[in-house]
Amino acid sequence: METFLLIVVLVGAVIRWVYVRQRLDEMGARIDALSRLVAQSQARTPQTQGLGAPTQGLGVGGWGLGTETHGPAAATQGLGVGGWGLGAETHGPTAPTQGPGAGGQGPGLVPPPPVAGPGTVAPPPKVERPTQGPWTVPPPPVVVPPIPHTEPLVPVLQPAASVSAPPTHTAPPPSPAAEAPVLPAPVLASAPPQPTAPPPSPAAEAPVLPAPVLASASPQPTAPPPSPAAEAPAPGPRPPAPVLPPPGPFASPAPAPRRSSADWEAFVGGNLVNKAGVLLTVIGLTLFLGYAFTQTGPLGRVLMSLAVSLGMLISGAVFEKREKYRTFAQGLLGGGWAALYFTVYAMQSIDAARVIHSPLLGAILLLAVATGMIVHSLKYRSQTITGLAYFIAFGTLGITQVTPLSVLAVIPLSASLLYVSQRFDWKNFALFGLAATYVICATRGDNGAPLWQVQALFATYWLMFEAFDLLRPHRAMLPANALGFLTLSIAAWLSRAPHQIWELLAAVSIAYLAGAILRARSDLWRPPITLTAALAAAAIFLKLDYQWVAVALLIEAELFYLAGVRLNAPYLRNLATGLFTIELGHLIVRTLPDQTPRAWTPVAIANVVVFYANRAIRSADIYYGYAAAAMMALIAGFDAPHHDRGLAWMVLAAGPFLVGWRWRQVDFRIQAYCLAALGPAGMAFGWPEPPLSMGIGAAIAYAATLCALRSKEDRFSAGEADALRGMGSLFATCLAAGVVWHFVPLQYLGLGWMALAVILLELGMRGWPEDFRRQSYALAVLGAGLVVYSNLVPISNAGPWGPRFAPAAAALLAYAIAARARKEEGGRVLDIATFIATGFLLTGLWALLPPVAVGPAWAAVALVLMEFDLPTLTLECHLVSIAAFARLFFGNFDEEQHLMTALTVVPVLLSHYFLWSHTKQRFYLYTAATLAAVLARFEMGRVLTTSGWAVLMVALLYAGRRLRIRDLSWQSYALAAMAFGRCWAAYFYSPDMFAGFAGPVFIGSTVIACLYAAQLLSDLDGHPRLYFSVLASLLLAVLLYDRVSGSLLTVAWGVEGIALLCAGFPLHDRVLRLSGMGLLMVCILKLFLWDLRHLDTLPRILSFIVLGLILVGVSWVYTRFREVLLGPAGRPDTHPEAA
Amino acid sequence: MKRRLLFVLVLLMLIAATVVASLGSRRGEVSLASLRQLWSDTIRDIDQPGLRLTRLSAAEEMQLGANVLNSVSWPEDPVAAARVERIAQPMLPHVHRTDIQYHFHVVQAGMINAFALPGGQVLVTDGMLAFVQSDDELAEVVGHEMSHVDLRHCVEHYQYQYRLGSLVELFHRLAAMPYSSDQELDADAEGMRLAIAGGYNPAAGPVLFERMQKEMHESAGSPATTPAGELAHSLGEALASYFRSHPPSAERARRLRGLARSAHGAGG
Repeated sequence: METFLLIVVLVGAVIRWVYVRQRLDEMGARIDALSRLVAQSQARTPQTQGLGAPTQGLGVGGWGLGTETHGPAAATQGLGVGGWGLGAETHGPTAPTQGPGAGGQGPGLVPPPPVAGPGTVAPPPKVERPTQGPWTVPPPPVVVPPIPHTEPLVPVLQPAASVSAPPTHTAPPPSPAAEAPVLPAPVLASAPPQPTAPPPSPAAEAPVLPAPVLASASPQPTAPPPSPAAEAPAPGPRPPAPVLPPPGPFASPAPAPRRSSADWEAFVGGNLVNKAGVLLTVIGLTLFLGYAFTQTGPLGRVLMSLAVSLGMLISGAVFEKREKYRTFAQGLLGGGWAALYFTVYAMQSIDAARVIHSPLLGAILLLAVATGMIVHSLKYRSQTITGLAYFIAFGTLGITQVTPLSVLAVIPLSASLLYVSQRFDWKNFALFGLAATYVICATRGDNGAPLWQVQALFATYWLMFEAFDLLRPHRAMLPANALGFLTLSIAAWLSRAPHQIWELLAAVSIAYLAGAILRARSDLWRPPITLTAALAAAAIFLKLDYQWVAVALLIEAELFYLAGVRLNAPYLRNLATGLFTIELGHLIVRTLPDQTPRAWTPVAIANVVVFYANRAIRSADIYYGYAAAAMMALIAGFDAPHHDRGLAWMVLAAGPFLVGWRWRQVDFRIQAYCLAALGPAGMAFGWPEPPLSMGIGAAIAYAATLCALRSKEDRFSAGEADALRGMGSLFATCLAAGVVWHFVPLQYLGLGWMALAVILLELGMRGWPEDFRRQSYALAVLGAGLVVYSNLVPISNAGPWGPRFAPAAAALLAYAIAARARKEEGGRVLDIATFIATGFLLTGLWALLPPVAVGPAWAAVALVLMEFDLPTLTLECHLVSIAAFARLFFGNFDEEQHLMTALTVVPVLLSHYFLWSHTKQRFYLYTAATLAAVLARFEMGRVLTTSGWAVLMVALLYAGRRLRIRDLSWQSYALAAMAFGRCWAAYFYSPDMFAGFAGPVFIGSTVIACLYAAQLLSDLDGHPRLYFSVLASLLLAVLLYDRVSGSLLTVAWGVEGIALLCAGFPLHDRVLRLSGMGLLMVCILKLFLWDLRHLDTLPRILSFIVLGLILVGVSWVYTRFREVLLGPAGRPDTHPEAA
Repeated sequence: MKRRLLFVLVLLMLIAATVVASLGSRRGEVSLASLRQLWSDTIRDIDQPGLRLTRLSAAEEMQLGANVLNSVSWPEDPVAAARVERIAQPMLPHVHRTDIQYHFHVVQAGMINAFALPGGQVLVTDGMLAFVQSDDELAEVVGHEMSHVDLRHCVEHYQYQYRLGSLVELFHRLAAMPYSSDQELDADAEGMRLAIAGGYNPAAGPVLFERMQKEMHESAGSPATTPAGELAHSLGEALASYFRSHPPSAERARRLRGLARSAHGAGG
């Protein structure tokens, strides 16, 4: 019971809301029409706005904004003040009551509310407009038509529609967005400001001037034909427009006028009270029924409820005729119908009120009520109201327990709906009916009827809506009808004849084909033909298996394609493309894995034929050619003999290429290129490929290359010939490399590729084609890398000779490449190739020669590289020389192989001097001197080598002075220091010298002599002279210390000092003299500090005497040779040579 | 023209060297022994000034040697020591340092070894006495140890400790590692000189070390045949030789054989 009451209340409220909503829509439509009129008049009469076109444009634009979003409110406001449109956005719902008020013509409508809200936000764009609210503006005569008495609820709809109808060709379309034409610049540009010009039309002046003025204005030729509404007198009072100061275009909006107490009263009394009354009525009715239910039987309850319902309906009908009670009457009518419907429903369905026990009768009565509602609703010409009524009617069929009645009664109901839809041009109405029909039918479930009956019923539905769609096409009707019909039909067939569904689909496909033919003259044939194609394809899938599906789809697609070509319908061809795609997908995804090639291949070949035929029929459809080529590739990929797919693809490529080349068809050539590209890929993936295949492939690729090279330019697109030449040669190179790979063992494959690179380089250099040149570089690099991997990494200098020769052979090939391409790529080929070649050569020599011979061999390589006198080779020469130098330390300096050491080191040493002479690189002087010094060490032993170093020192110093090379002098200084240090450290002795001729004296004398010789070779005043002299004298003192016993050491050193003095005078060598003097001083110190304590008496005396004599002698000598010391001019002595 | 001639000449020399070296019977060993030798020479030269400044007198050295000998207790064999002394007697007059008094000991250690302490303390193990097969071989051994004393190798290991402390000596030994092998070779050569001077057969030296190589299972190892192997072998060998106190017996035998050949040639 509570549920029923709640339903009653809700339905009543819905009906009431629908009434109000309908009124809102109608008012909105009317106000839209008014707004367009005003905008139209403003667009035509810019000169009347006083501020010129730009100002008008802004003002109209601001107004238009409001009308676009909230048409009803904005339009109403636009009548009063043009700039209030923006403010209208938040007050839409109140607009309907304002609109009629503004017009002043609304028959019985509620007076406009005093608060017009919208005007408080947006500035008025028109300065001429008064600031009063819409209710104070006199209604423009052009937009307020007289209300026909026959249409009390929509009094302004028809006249407004006539105003905005096409005859007013300058008016914008009715959609909100279409109001933009009011704003655009052409209006402004084509209408220069003419403030004094008269208004072009009365309608244009309507919002601006008082109605009498408008009425007296003569219409302009460009104005729209005056409508009856425009000629109607304006009943409202004139606005005091000349008196009120016009606001600026961006002035603040006028303050919203307050709603008067009378307005409030009207609003509350006419609207709110009405709603409250209806609500209370329904509630009271339900309460009464609730009470009555407890007091009376079912019949009494039904009668009471029927009485109330009919009372409400009758009273509503009576009050509806009076305008001021119309809202009240609508509430009564809505509530009455709701109460009546649910009363009838309760008569059969609710136990407490059941007076009818036949479901069929109950359903018929409910349908009768619903029919009454529909008929009544038609009175209002409202799609919503009538739709609601139909909804109730369909709902009735939905809830009835009698299925046959339900599914059959829906036919006339739907037919009536379609009629109404067609009659009133309610386009969405039919769609609603369609949905309701199929939904009701679906909700009824399966009652076990025979298939033919069910399908006949569904066909009736389908035919009914299809026929309607043919008469009144709707975009959504056909797919919705197909969806409903097919869903229901398939469901029925699934339960009754699941294996024959294809027949259904085929039949429907034919039906839609007919539908498409019937729609051929219109533009709506695409959906049915699409359905035809889809359903036919589905039927094929359901009926056939494996390759026969593909065959059937191929035929269907081809038929569509041919039809598309014949009828010049791209859509059909696109459908065909889709079908071809499905067919190919099925062929590849389903048929291919399951079937043997023999079953699959004919279909694939048929595809190729059909595709190429399509390509021939219509040359623009080049993608068919590509598809055919792809199919050919697929066939070859699966059916190629001996899995030789790569070759098959390359051979296949020849066909399209020849066609494309002969007839200049670029798409065929592209197909050929793609097929050809598959060739090497197939060979690579199908490795090992037979070498004959690769050879043939290389020949084909090279033939294509030559074709590109020799053909005329017009046979290829721009850049195509170059690309073909490049790619063809690349393929040929790759395949040739593959052939080499096949024949040459992996150990020598790098060599093979490098040899092939040499051949390709020669071809490239000769221009057959030039692309081979760079490809040969890449191949050579690959080969070199492989040589490194296969030959260098595991190389050994022992074992079989073959692998040990490989690096040397690679070096020769690399040198050949470098020599042939020495001028290419800016010389970079020469640089890189020679670097690689030299590396290989050094490694090869290492592998081929014994360790002791490697250094000289590398040095010889360096020497030869230098001879070419090229920067790169010179750099390599330096690097190799350094390597040879370092190599000697690994295998050549052997103390036990004196002869071999000298034999292998000396030539390298000399080569470094020669390289220095040619390149002037100073480091060669140092490497050579280092080799000489080290050679001396290992040839002569640890201590005896000092003699060799000393001799070398003198030689270097002499050469340095002679050749004026300071590096040699520096080397001599270093050797002197080394010889001195070693002699002093070892006291000239080494155990390993015992058996030889050399002894400490020999070593000491040699080194000391060399040091003195070096002193004499040095400049008299230079530091080197001092350096050598000090070293020599010290070393002599050390030798004396080592060789002379302690008691005679002082004497020996004194003698040495005398000797130095004696030598210093004739040689004019101050250093010698000072050294002698210094040594004598040391002797004196030793005499007093050591000899006095440690020597015996006699040696001590002897020491003193001898030393004294020595000193005397020294004194004399100095006196005697004073002039020598001072020189001829009394200056300090100089070296004779210097003097 | 002259330059071209020089080029050809140098190139021919290089080629000739390559060919001759390739035709040589000995394959040659690849190592960094030459660099190690040069480095050893350098370190040895650098080490000399410090050793000269901290040199001990003969009396100090003999006292040091006695102290070291007394710090450990080896069971000695006086009878065998008498044999060693007898073998050494002919060589004593030919030592450089005549102010050193040599003492010879035979210790029962079982192993094949001989060593010397500063101040002329020469110790030979009973294992060595059993290993040598002739007086000539024993003379080589004793001469080798006497040479360590005569060439100051022994005392040099204690100089810094004696003068400056143990820590300095520790660093010095680390620094002197590279040439300790050279000192062994020097001692081999000087010992052979003493043996020859004492009237012993110099050919016994190489034979002794060859037999010792076999006894000690010293293998020469196979030469590397790849570039990386060569480099690794060279570096490894150089590193090992840096810390090796004694050169391989094979090398010592080879060098002694060369010295003996030279001595034989010089002697007529």
